[in-house]
Amino acid sequence: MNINEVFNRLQGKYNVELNNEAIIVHVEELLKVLEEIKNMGFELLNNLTAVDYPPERFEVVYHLESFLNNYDIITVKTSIDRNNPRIPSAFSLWPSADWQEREVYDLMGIIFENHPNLTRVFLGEDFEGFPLRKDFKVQSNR
Amino acid sequence: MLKTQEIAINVGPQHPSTHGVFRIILKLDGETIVDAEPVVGYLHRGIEKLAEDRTYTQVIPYTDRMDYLGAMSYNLGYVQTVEKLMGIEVPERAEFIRVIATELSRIASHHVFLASMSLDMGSYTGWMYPFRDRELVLELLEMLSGSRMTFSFMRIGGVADDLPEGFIEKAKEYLPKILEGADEEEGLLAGNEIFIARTKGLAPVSVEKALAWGWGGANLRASGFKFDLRKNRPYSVYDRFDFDIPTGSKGDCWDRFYLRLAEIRQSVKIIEQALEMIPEGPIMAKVPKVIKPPVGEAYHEVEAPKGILGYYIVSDGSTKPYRMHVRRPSYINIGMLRDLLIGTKLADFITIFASIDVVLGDVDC
Repeated sequence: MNINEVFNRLQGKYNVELNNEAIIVHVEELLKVLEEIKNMGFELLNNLTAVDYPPERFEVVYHLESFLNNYDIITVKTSIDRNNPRIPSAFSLWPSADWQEREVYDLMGIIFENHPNLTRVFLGEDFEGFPLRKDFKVQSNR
Repeated sequence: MLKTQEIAINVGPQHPSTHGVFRIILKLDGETIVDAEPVVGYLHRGIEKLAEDRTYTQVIPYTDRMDYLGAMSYNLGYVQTVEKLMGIEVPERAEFIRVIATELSRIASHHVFLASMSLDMGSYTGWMYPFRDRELVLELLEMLSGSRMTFSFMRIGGVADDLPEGFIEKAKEYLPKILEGADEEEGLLAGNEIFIARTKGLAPVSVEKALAWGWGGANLRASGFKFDLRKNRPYSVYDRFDFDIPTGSKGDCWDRFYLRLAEIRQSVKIIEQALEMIPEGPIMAKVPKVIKPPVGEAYHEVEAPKGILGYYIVSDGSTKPYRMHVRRPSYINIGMLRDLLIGTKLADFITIFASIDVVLGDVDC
């Protein structure tokens, strides 16, 4: 199955669009769309990350795959408000979201609602700020 | 009835069995582990952030330093992602050199796995033999790239250097030795009754569970599901070679161990064929001096020694990546650790941790 087939099945049911080989979803419908795609046979959430587009939004990116059926990789994206970065957790669908969401929370500061254990992974609990945000200044020697 | 009390013990972070710097807090009821909390981040260097301040070429050396035991795959994954962004065709000879280098690096990584797993379980001799053979592999890699572990050998559009003089002869001399060594290691470890008793049936993982937690690569194949990106979605020139994909059946510590031993032999087989088939020609594609991928993004996966490695790169059209994210197999593998440990015995913890094959430079990135 490729991205067009997945998109055709979603179209009409949900408010989705196809842009640059990625399915763009609204955050309110995110979990429903992800579950629908999972039920099409995509048993893997292989990659989850986020990109910072200041000043107004974060883009959270999901790469869904199937090894069992050997489908194409499907990219699902959703944008959230940069001033109130909240998004539902995908842990209930894929346990692999557990650590990947913690990493995004730790470095980007996005809050995944209903995550079982949303704590910092790499940085200490007393660390201030989120290093992967574009406005986080690093001390650079160049 | 005696009242028992749960106690928490701390393991690491500074201990040889932690494969880097890893700490875990185990809650015990008697000998049984009832809860586990892995603590990582001691080796976190912020490579993803650093990459945003480097040009595309300057990022290559950082990719070596994630999984420093099998760094060639990390080079390959990165340059292929940038090539995908820019639409670069790589010359055939370069692809063959890449395959040779990557497979050598995979063998070296598996040698360290075999060695460290047996050392963790108390067998010092079991550590010596794989390290003896790894030395041969590292010698070849040093001939090729000038470095033993952090190669920075691949370039966007090809490789840094052609095969040096005498490389093919030396490789043909060493590869049979590596196979002989693998037989010796098999006799030493796989033929050892204590080793078998301590690994068989321990911490089995079903295919469903492995997939749910995102496991790929050798850890997934140990559960009995035959999936290898080199075969199922061939990249580079992997579709030209004839090799098998070994699988396990139960996904226990034994399967995860034995599979890697079998994979060493398959990698040798690939290198032997590549040395025979390698064509003449250029080793670099025509690439602009300044690497400036068009606006867009790419996600690309390769089969790294420890699992499936994915690079996600977003380009804003400038000379530096706007965002780079790496899906590191070790980080994904370690996610299941808590789930895997609950209900097992304290004495088995080190064996289980060794069997999932993580390296902390790769977990922390």
